[in-house]
Amino acid sequence: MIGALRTPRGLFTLALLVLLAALPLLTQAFDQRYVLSVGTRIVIWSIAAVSLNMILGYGGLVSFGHAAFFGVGGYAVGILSANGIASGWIQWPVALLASATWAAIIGALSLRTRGLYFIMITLAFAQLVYYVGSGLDAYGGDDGLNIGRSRFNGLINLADKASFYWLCLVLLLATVWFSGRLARSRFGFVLRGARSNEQRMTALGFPVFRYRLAAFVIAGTFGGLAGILLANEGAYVSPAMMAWMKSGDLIVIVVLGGTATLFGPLYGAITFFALEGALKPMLDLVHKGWGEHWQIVFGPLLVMVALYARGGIDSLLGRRHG
Amino acid sequence: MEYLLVQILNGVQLGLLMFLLAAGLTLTLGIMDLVNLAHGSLYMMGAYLAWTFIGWTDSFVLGVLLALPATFALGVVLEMVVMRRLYARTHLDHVLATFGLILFFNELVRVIWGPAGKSIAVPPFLANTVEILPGVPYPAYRFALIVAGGVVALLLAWLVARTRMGMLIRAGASNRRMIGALGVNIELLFSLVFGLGAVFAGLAGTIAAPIGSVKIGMGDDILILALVIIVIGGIGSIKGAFVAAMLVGQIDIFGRTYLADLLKLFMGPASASAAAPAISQVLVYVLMAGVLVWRPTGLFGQRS
Amino acid sequence: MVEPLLSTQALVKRFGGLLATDNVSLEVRPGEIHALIGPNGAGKTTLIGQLTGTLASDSGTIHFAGRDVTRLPTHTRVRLGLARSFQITSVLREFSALDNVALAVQAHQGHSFRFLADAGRDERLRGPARERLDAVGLGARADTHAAALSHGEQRQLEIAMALAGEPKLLLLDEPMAGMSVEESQRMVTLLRGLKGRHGMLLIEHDMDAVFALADRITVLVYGRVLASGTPDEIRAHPEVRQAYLGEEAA
Repeated sequence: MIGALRTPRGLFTLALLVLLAALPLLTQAFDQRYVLSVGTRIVIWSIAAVSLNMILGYGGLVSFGHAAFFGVGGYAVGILSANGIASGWIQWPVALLASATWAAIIGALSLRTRGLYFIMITLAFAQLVYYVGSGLDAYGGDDGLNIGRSRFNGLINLADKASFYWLCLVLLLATVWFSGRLARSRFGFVLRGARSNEQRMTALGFPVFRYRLAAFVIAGTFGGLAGILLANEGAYVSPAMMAWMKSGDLIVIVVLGGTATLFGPLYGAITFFALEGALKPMLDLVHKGWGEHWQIVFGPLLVMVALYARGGIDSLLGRRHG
Repeated sequence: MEYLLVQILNGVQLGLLMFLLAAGLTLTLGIMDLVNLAHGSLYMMGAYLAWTFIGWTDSFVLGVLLALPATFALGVVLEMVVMRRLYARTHLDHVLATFGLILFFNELVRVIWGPAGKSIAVPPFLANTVEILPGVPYPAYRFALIVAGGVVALLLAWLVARTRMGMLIRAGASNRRMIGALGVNIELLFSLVFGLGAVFAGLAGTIAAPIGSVKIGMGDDILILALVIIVIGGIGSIKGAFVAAMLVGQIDIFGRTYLADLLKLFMGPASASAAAPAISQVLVYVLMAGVLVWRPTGLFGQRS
Repeated sequence: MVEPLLSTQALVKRFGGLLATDNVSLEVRPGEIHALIGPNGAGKTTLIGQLTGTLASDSGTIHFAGRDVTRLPTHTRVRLGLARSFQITSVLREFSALDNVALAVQAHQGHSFRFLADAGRDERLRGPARERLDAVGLGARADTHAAALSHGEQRQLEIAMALAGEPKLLLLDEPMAGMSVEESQRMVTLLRGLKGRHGMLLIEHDMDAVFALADRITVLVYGRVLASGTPDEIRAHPEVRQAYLGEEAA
């Protein structure tokens, strides 16, 4: 652990975590409240990206429907809230259970397929959730639903921006910690082995399907956690949070940061949102008004990343060991 | 009864449109093993180009005819600049790169044509109705769509089944290494196939425009539907894409019309009209899930 | 009469109109090396697939270690002690040699639903894995990525992985394929050393290796058993000489 700090990666990560921990203090000192809400969103998206990385990175399964878990987690909170159940002690476990259940169902169906069919079927199931959400007329349909934030008997006030941010950050660190342990555990070895050579793993006697399904459920549950937080962040849920482009964004984040790396998804999320924040003013500097078209630069940038930057940002920090 | 017939025709018309979009996609998937999310962008670009050309020429037919070579050229350029570098890569790289292209094209359209949507009017000579059965009128434009879509589908079937290029396409879809061994210029073949797919996508976007609208991101959701159709039909199978497109067309129309009526029995008319399209979309995905559970490589897909 | 370790009765596999496995009955006794030979396309790999469970049989039965395993999935058969090596080298290329074998060991220690403990430092996996690597002569290459091993070394690694669970029977699908003479000889020595502890069903084109190692030989032609017996009997069998060995000699 101490040894890791001597590497550029260790130092960089430590500096980043210190910065993240201090963000509410900094934004208060410089009176930049907007930055804190962006920071909160980055942290929440990082949780989702870390969870996607468990199946996409370590499992090698390109799941194209991860944003559905934003929706399942978020709507579980929203629907309970709309029905007068405001306690987070009830909302959160129910939302996590709903996410895990949904992951188990679509995992059991999707994991029978391979390759492109898997990409498509996960996408299709996410679309299914999306359309169910937009068809939920009683809960706002396409327009979404304003909700009250989860209550925890005064233990923590989620409406307080700084407290909420720190809660999200702690949950992110817990998620990263878990994902790191998972990757190196017996379970993780099986998962990564199946990515490398599924046929061999089966011949060795591993029922690969079960391990992948378990990974899918774990990832879905953490994805649901991100959905819970997203719903509480804006006190609002809508089908837009699980549009398929959001699933695409999540994949972009994971690949951008570096698949199958511990902090890659976090680097990816920060870069993704920072690029959006930075490209606008940069383009405006070149020519007034160009800033709003930042995606015309961002899109080709993604193409370049796919073509030339295979290891993502994590690989810029030097070779990994193990 | 007449109502039913009209709805079935609407389903056929939607199915044919979806087939045009899905055909190019299933070819690039089957032959190049390329996941091209930006196929929907070609659908959109086709429609915008047609809008511009129709404005210049003041003629729907001329505009559409000019838009076709333009989308072909766009497809070929795209293939040469980006896609060709992706063939040897993983599906994940395909997803990332073509997702980037979607963002690029959506923004490009905003820069060139502005954020507001455009509309293409139904050409005057197709603005009236035709009698499909005595006493059953049907919009002439939609009828023309069915005819045009059917002709193009037949043309494609002929191209794939009867021509040398089609032979190579079929060989390539079932065994990519083989066409290399046949001494074919693969780079050229891939460019042509991709360009062809672009034309079909652009054509679909163009002729769908008078009954829908031309707007940014119009290809994004319909792309997913096209991908679903391909997966149901089996990747690389033109026949599969056709059958699946027809199925999806009927389900969609059924959902939008009969389901709404059915739901009105259980809920208020407003909620029923709101829920029906969503449920019909859900039905399409349920169909796909069912097919894949039954046959994990689609209805007409290659067994591995 | 020793109870056979593996026996098949009238096993059949069809691919469309093609009979890939045509009424194959064979037996492997504990501790013996039983070689399966036959020209390309004789159906050897199909048969291996049926034995391991990656291909479902159309009819006939497979008994292994006293149980009917005809309908059991691959991983259950592996648990019962049926291990295989692959015709095309099939190691986990991104993992070290030691990790490869450790995973194979792990496969035999019950389920792997353990999420938190570091498997990379688990001596219950690493210890036995090192032993197996030593047994096949790869001890010094433990930390090398499998992708960086030579072809011969990868085949040795295959054997080490197959040995991980102390299998009763090893299905060896062309273990000498693509090997240099020297590498082949090393493999023959290695397999001979394992004889007696593990039964082996050996598929191999290298006839020198087959006749040097096998206790009994079954000849497969067009999915059918042409002859079965000791190496001397097979050598003397007129049809085999004509249909197969003659070809090889020419």
